[in-house]
Amino acid sequence: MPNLKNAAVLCLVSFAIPAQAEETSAINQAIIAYNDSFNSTGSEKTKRLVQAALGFYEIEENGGADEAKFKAEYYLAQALYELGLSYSASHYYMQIIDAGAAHPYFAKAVEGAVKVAEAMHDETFVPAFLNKRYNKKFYLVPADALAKVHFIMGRVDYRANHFKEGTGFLSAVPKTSSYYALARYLLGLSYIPRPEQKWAGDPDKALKMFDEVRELQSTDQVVYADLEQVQDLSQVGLARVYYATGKGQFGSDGYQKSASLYHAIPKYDRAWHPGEPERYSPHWEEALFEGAWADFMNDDPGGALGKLQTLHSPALSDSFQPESWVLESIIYFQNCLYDQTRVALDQYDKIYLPMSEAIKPLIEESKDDEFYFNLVHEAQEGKNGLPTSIRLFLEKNEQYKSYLNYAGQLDGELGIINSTEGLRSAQMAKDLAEMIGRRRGLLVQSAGKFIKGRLANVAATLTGFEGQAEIVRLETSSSEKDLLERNDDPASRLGKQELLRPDVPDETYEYWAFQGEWWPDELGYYKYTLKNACPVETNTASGP
Amino acid sequence: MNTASKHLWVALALLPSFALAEGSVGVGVSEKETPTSKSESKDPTVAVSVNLTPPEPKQPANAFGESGPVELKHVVEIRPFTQAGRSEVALFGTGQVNGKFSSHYGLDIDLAYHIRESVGVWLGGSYVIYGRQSSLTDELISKAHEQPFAANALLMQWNAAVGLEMNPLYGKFTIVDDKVLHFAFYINAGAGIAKTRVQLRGNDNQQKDAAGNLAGPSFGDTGYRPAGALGGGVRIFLTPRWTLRLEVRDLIYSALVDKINGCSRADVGKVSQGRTDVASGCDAGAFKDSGADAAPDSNVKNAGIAQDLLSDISSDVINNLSFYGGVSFLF
Repeated sequence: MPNLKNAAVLCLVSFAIPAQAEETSAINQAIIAYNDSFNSTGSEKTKRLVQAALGFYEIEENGGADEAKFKAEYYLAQALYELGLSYSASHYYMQIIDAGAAHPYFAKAVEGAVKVAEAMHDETFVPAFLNKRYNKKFYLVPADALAKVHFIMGRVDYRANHFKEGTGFLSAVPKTSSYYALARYLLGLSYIPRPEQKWAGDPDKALKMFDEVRELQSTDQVVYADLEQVQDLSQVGLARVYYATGKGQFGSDGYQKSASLYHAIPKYDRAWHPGEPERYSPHWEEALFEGAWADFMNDDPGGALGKLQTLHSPALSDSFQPESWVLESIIYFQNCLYDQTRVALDQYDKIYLPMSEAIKPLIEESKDDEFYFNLVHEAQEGKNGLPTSIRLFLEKNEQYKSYLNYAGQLDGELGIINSTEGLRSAQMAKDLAEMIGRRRGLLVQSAGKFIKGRLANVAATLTGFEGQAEIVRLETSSSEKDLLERNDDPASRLGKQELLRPDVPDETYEYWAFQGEWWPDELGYYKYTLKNACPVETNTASGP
Repeated sequence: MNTASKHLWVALALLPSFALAEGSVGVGVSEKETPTSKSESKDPTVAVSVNLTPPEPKQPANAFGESGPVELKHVVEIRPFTQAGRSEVALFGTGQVNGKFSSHYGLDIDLAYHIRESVGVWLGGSYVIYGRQSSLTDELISKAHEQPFAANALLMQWNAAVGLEMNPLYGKFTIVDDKVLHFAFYINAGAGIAKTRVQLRGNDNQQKDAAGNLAGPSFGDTGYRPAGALGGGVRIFLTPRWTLRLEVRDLIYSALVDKINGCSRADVGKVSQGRTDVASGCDAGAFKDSGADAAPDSNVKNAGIAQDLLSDISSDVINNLSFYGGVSFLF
C-alpha cells in the first residue's frame, strides 16, 4: 500500500512539471510504467519496472532540469528496489542523501536506505554511510524511519566503543518503534562498565534496560522486531551484569542471581516443540559456559561441573569452548582433586593443542582477503585445515552472517540483472553490474579482514589458555608437593565423606542417576556431587 | 579460604576475559552439607537404547588410595511433561482378560485431576458393549448340562467409580530417530457401583422367535452392586498433551444372586408356569423377550432358566480383570 500511495502522489506531481516537452514526455512515460507496475503481476510487472527504471536512469544520467532529475533519481531507486535490486537501489538513495536536505527526496531517500539495510541485513555499509552523513536535517525523516536511523547509529557507535554517543542515539528510539526492544537491549549493553575503554557505564541502568526488555510485549500498534530473541539476550545481559558485580551488590549475591538467570535461559530454540528433532537455542551454549562460571563463583562446583559436562557431551563436541576445560581443571583443583585436574588439562591438550597448530599456518602465511572470505565456505567442503569447532565458532558470528548474507544478495542481484529481459543488454545493467562488482570487492576486503581478525583472536585465545593450563598444572604439582611434605592423608579424609544426591528443587523436576548414557533431554541438567580433598577443618562433600 | 584457593586465585587472575569479567572477590569452597536424602527411590531409568556415543572415560585412577569415587554425576531435569495441576480426560477400549465364565468388551471414559505430579483423583465410567457368558459356559450348558452358579457368571452392564491415583515410578525410552518417550507408571483405586445381569438363554441356543429366526441370548436383571476398582498402568507421553494409556484394572463387585428381574425363586417358578400372582417388585414381564417377533412363551422359558439359576442361592466376589487401552488428553 505505501507504494501505491507513492505512485499516486507521483502521478499528481507529474502534471505540474513545466519542463521541456521531450523530457516531460520521457519522465511521464517512465512514471506511467512505474505506476502500471503496481497493477501488474509476474513478468508483466517486471517488464513495467524495467521500462520505468530505464526511463528514470536515462534522465538521471543525462541530466535535464533539476526537478526532473531529482524525481528520476529517487524513483529509479524505488523501481530498482521493487525489482529486487536492493543494493543498486541503495546506491541511488545514498546519492540523494549525499546531496543533502536540498534534495526534495532527501527524507524519503533516508527512509529507502533504511529499508534496504533491513532487507539486506546490512550491518556495515548503509549504517556506516548514515553515520557519516547524519546531521540535524534528519529531523525531516518520517518518525518511524528516523527511529530506525537512531538505532542504526547507536549500534555503529556501540560497536566502535563510543558508548556515550551510542546511548544518546539509542535513547532516542521511542517505544512506538519496532526497534524499541533492540534499542533498549543495546542500551543495556552500553551501560555495562568497560574499564578497558574508560567507560564507567551505569550497571543500575543496564539492569533496568534488560528488565524492561524482558517485560515488553508487542501490541496491535507495534510489533517489536526479534522480541523473543532479544528477551533471551537481555536475560544473558542481566546475568552478566549480576556476575560482574559479584557478591554483596544489589542487596544480594550477584553470583547467585547470575547463576539463576543463566540456568533459566531456554535450552531449546523458541520455535522448537517437544517431539521435534532437538534444536537448541542460539544462546544456550554461552549460557552453559558462563553459567558454569557463575555456579563456580556461587560456591556450587557441582552445578558448574554439570554444565561443563553438557558442553563436553557428544552433542556439543564441536563447540569451541577451550576455557571450559581450564575451568573444569580449576574446579577440581579447588577441591584438591589433583588427578581430576590433570585429566581436564589433558583433555584440553588433546582437543585444543592440535587446533592451535592447525590455524597457525592460516594466520602466519601471507594470504589475501579473498582467501579469508572463502575460508569458512571452503572449510565446509574440507578444502583447508580449519578445524570444525573453529569453523562453527566463526559461522555463528552475527557480523559474519551479515557479510555472508550481503554477498548472497549481491550475487542475487547480478543474477537478476543478467536474467531479466530488456535489462541485461542496457547500459544501466552494465553500470549496475560494475557497481555491484566494486561493492563485492569491498565486501570481500571487509569480511576477509574481519575473519582474519577473528581467527587471530582465536589463536590468541588458545595461546592464552595454553598458558593458563600450564599455570594450573604447575599449581597442581606444587600443591601435591605441599600435601606430601605435610604428611597429609587425603585418602582418609575422602573416605569419610559421603556423596549424596543433589537437591531436587520441587516436583517440576525429576531425578535420574547419570550412568554414562547421553540422553538428549538430560543435556543441560547434569549436576555433580564431589568430595573435597583439601586439608581444611570442616571438609564436607560439596553440593548445591 | 584454604591454601588451594589462594593458589588458585593466582591462576584465575591470569585468565583472559574470554567471556566474563571476573569479580574481585576471592574464591571460596562450599562448606554446605547437601540437604538431600538417600532414601529417595526414583531410579527407574529404562534405558532401552543409547543414542549418542559415550565420551572418553574421564575418571582417573585415584591417587589417594582406596577412598572410593570422588564424584557422582546426576541429572536433575525439568520434567518435559508435567501433570500437576492439570486435568485429564481419557478414552479407553476395554476387554476382559480373565473371562472364564463371562466375556466383557466395552468403552471407558475417565476424567482425572492431578493434584500433584504423583497424586490425582479420578472419576470414570465404563459401558459394556458386549457382555455375555463365555463359550466355556455355553459348552458346559450344552454338553454337560451344567452351568456355573449365577454369581460366577454375573455380567456387568456398566459401572461408575471415583478414586485416587498415584504415580510412583517414571521412566523413558528412545525409539526411532532418537526420539525420547517419557512414561509414568501409575496405580489407582476407587469405589462405585456396577449394574449387573445374568444371561438366561445361552449364546448358541437354538430357540426360535415367532418369525422363525434364532432368538439369541436373553438376560435377567440382577440389579446394582457396590464395586471397587484396583488398577495399574502406564502413561506414555506422546506430546505434552497427549498420552497413550495402557492399564489393567480389576473391577471387584459382590455377586449375591437371589433374585432375577426382582423375582425370588418362588416367583420365578410362578412365572415359569405362566402365573402372574407374583410379589410386588417382581417384574414378570421382564422375562419376555423384547421385540415384535418375540416368542409368546419366551417369558416362561426364560423364567424356567432363571429358576434353575436360583435353585442354589449363590454368592461370590467377582474379579472382572480387564485390559484398558486408550489415549488421554491433558488440559
